Amino acid sequence: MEDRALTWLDDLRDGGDADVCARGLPTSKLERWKYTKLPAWKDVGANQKLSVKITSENTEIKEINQCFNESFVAKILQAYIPQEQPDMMLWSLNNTSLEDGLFIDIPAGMKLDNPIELVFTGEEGGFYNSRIIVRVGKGAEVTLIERHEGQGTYWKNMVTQIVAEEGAHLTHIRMVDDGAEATHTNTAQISQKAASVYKGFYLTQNVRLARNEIEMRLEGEQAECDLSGVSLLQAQQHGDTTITVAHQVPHCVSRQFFRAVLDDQARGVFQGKVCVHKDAQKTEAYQLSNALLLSEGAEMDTKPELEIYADDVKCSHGATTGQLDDEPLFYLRSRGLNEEQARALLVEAFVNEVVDKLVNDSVKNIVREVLNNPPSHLWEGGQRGEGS
Amino acid sequence: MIKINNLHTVIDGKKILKGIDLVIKPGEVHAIMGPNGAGKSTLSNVLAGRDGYEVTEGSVQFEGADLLTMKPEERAGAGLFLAFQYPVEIPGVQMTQFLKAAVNAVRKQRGQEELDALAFLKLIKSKIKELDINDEMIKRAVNVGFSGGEKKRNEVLQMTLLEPKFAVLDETDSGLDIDALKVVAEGVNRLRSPERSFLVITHYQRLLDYITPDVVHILADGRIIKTGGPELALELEEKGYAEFVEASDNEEAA
Ligand SMILES: Nc1ncnc2c1ncn2[C@@H]1O[C@H](COP(=O)(O)OP(=O)(O)O)[C@@H](O)[C@H]1O
Ligand SMILES: [Mg+2]
Repeated sequence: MEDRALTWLDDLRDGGDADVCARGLPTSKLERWKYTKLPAWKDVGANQKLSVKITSENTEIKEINQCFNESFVAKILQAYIPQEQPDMMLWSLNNTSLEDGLFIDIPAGMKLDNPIELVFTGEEGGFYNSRIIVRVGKGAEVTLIERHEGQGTYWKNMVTQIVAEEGAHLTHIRMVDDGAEATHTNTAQISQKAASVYKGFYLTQNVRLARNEIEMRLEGEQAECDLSGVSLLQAQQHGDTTITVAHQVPHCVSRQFFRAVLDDQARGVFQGKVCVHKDAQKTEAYQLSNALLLSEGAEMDTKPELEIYADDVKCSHGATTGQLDDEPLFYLRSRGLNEEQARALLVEAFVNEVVDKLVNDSVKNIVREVLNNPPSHLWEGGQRGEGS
Repeated sequence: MIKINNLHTVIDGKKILKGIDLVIKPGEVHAIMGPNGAGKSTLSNVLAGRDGYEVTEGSVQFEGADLLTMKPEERAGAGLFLAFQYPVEIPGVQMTQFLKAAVNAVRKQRGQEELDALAFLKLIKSKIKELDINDEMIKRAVNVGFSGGEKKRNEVLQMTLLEPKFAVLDETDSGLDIDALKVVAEGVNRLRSPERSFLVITHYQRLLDYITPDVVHILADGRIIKTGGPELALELEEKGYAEFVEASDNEEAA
């Protein structure tokens, strides 16, 4: 692999090791981990390579361990020091064995018609620390579809670092569909330069526990980001979306729109923080989180936070948690649909409102194919509510 | 067709319907007129099976079956249709998806074969033309962003597609301009047949210029206080509700 010893890389790995030894994994004592408890994982030492199937045209996607000599990669890997943060142990953990992952480098001006598709497959007993680095060059346009699946009990601990250069457009679909026993954690840092556009859609379903933590940095004026997502959870599944959007400069727009459908004893978490720095005048920042609880045992924890230090801004946030409304249910039933059909249709509609906002039809269709909507158990289980 | 016998209902402990008797035979069109708050929508909702209405006394027979023990969807399957006074907006559910689900749900209950996408499309195309509904409306989400008139037309469209035996129209005329009113009335008249009955609830006599009823009832304070022919509607328009209500109060007092 590396011909020469890279001292910075050794330092990075050692630093990660030392941090994990010293602080362990995040616990509920940490503010940003209040609602999410990682399952016990005994053997965090044994680390496997995560298998990935890549579909792409006109782009070479490299293994990250082939890129340690590239200055962009070396720089971005060293740019963030997790041990200096109060709660970034998962990033440190990912650093300990930094070796596995991909570097996707879209040259300036390149516009890809077809999406790049990555399918990551976990296996029973697997423990993965994989790193994805994406650079979308000036004015380049690309759609990246990341799908996570697998079999059995395993843990994917991913770190994602994305840079959208000036005027770049990135649509990023990230679908976590790992399997009912799997744990999936992703810590993402996204930097947007001037006039860049990032549209992210995150699906969480069919997973034991998922945490998707995103730090969005709007670093150049006129940058725009849309973060949206859907969680469909049942049984004792747990899905956590934790977002920080930092408006560092004026004239940027950010939108967050997340919905969760929770059945049985499933638990959803949405923590969305918007920081508007002192100079970031004319910021627009919107945030909306809606959760639909389908059973008494389901729970949603929502924590919106606004830290605004500029005075000329437009910001809004809203959060709702509730059950299906009686009025539309009755309307549908009065037209002949039975209670299960009516509920399923309304749940589907609730989710569709997020998916429908995706601009590209082919992307929408890809999402719909994976989306377990309406959740099949709504039809099978039958005996819900007073009907049947 | 339908036989309502001494129907009493209570909402949140408050008596709303206080003994309704009403018999509608196949092919008949009955109108119910009455002031706001009389209980007209309560009656429609009880017939359609909405939760939250407690029937404390009385019964409803629909084609010989006990209507009140049936679920709302079973009532629809059996041929009852309610055109809502306030149709509900359902964001995220597309009109075509909704209409197809509804048509096939009642077809299934009636032992008819379900329609495939193509057959359904053909059916809907012909019906929206009859009702002067534009294509664009059925591409939207159910009732979302519809004008008042579009919502009412949508109710009539659903009625047309579901081919009920007995339809209740709860103030389908309110909020409509005269052209829309005619379209709605034509929609109803087109469906009139010796096997099909209607209960047309309205606040104004205007609609009855276009849908000629066989029988007119006046409902006030949870009771039918007067029943007559189409001329009763005209008389009511002229004199206003107050006079009728007073007259009936006096009768009661006497
Ligand atoms: N859900 C409800 N809860 C409490 N009171 C209601 C409810 N629905 C109707 N009512 C009351 O019942 C009475 C009759 O209402 P309604 O049937 O809507 O009258 P109409 O349709 O004739 O105007 C009114 O006094 C109204 O306030
Ligand atoms: Mg009413």
